[in-house]
Amino acid sequence: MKAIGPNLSPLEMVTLMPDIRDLTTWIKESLFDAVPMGIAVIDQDFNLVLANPAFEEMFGPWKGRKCYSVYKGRETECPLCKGSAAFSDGKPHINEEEGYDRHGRLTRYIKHTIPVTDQQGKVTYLVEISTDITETERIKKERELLFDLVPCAIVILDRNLNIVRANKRFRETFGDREGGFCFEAFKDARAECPDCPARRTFADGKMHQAHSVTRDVFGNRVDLQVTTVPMGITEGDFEHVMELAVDITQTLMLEDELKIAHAIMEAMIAASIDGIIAVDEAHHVTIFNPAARDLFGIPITHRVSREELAGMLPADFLEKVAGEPNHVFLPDTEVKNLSGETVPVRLVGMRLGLGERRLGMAFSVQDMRGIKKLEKEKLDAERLAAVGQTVAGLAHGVKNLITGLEGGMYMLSSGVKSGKVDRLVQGMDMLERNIARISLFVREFLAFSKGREIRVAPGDPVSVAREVVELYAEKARQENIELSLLAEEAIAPANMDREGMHESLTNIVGNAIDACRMSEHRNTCKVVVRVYERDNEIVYEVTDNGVGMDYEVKKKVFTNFFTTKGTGGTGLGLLTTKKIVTEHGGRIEFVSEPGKGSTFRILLPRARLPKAPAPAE
Amino acid sequence: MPKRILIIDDEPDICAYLCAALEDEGYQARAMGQDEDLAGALNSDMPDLIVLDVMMPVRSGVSLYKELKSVPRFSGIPVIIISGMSPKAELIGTGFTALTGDPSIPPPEAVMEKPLVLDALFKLIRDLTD
Repeated sequence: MKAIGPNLSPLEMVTLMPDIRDLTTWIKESLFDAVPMGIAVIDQDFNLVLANPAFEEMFGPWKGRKCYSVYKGRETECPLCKGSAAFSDGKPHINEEEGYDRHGRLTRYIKHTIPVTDQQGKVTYLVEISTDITETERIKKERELLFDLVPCAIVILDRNLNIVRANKRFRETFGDREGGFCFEAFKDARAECPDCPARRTFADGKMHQAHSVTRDVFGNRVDLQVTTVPMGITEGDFEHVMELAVDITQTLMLEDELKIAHAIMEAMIAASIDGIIAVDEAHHVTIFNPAARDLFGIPITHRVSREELAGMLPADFLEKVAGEPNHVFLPDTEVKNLSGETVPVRLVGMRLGLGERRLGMAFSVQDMRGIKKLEKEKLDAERLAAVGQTVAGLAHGVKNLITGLEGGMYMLSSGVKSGKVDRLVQGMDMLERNIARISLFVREFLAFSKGREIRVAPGDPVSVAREVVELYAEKARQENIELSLLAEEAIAPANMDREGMHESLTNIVGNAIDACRMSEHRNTCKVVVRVYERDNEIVYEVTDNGVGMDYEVKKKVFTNFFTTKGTGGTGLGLLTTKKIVTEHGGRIEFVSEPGKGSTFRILLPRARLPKAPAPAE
Repeated sequence: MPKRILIIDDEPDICAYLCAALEDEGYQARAMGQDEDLAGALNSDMPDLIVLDVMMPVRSGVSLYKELKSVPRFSGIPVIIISGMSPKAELIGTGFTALTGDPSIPPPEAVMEKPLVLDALFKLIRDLTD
């Protein structure tokens, strides 16, 4: 249906007229009731004479009541009656009113007051139209609250970049700047910033961002992330821009601290002399420091894959570490470098996590080649020292031999001088004997100082002792010495130089038997050989109740070519034993009491036993 | 009357040597056997001087020396200690006390290191027996 308007022809008007007639009737009869705003009519005595349903909806029943009663819940006229002004001046008024609705709730409404005049021009009635703005007010208040409470500084700028409005946060941070320029407040600048985001927003109507640095009212440096948005209801047309500035000073500071901490950590990892390796949950390598590259022989350009890493570390090590809540420590193990060579290392691995989160694993690898070398050098030095002590102690053995030779010479020459033939014979005898002793001495000493390469293989510790006891069984029987072996049942195999241990035990058992032979109660002499394991140490113990050793002898027992066996032996036996035991990482102890007997003990800590060479492939 | 010298050493060669040399020098020398006990040896033939090797098996020279010095009848006999092992420092003064473990035992009259120089030995014996 065409709208009624000035462009209609008379014919059209006629056609539409019945509608207009209906319309006018409707306006006259139904509009009053249909309007959604409260309309009430009051007379000069403030009686409510007429009201529409919307009014009743708003303020409740009104018939026969005064306006001040219905609007304000009052018994008497309002002291500042705005309505009465219209009665006197005959002009329409608009007021913002506060009253009580039909539920007794505080209501805010806009009241339009329109005077109705009679033919004489006197105002007889007032038509009051009330629009409930309570909801609007509430929303407005909410918006105000939000504006002030939002945790960022907000300003509203006009096209000249003047601050038209600022929120509480802004005022607290930068002071009262309304009317000032945004660049003065945000950047402490004299003029517009070259990259001003507000300008850009004004230009293209789009959101823009920038980072600005300024000072707050206390003079502290503040870093801001600034966002500008156009403020307008209609698309493309706006006079103001809202600028939001979020304080990122803390964030930047934390970022900075993190960067520094990270840089320090990186430097430490890079500088560490131990290899440091880290993998993520999927075992991909995330850290492989220079020391690790060195150790594993990996060039700087080569990225270590997880397969390569698994191949280089001991078998199952990665799985073991992943499954263990605490760290896994291998003090003496081997890894393979990129070329497949084994490297002795100390290895520590542990899971990494943050609370429930698993972050992978980290390892520390310490190259033991240097330490191993030192250990070997130490062993060599000890042997050398033993030899050195030996050389010092050579004196005794040699002195006796020299005296023997001198004696022989004396006998010969005095025999020749005096003609005493028995002296000649004795002299020759002495010379022969002592020369033989010197030969033996030199040979044994050379053998000792050259040392024998120890050949290590796993073996049964008890069987060596058994062999030695069997060796001496006959001799002991002949001397009426009780020789026995007491060995623990289950001593696990150990890496030993079998020949060396055999020699050591032979020396000690031999000494024990000799001690018995020299003893005064030689017919009740006993030599007991014990083999047991205690505190992860294998122990060979030889006890005799023979002569025992006094202070002098005890002091000298290991240190030089001491022999208590008269003309026999060179005294190297115990020294050799000590050397062999040292090579096994062990030690010798002894206790002895003159007349009571001696106990010699060889202690071999399992952890220090030599490694058997890898079986030939 | 030739002076009597008793040699106590475990090396038979040294005993034979010293005995022969001392005899040639005009002394009456004998060596004490391994199985002889000290008291017996001294009672049967009291020597004027004893030459004692301090490093011996079975009965150590030190214990023999202690025995010697603790019996009043024997304690007056001068003793020359000979040794192939201990440096002289260990045989005199505080070293000797540590050795015997008994400060009441007086140190020996003389100490000589092996190998022995005969002339020096003879002189020492002369000084101690005159």
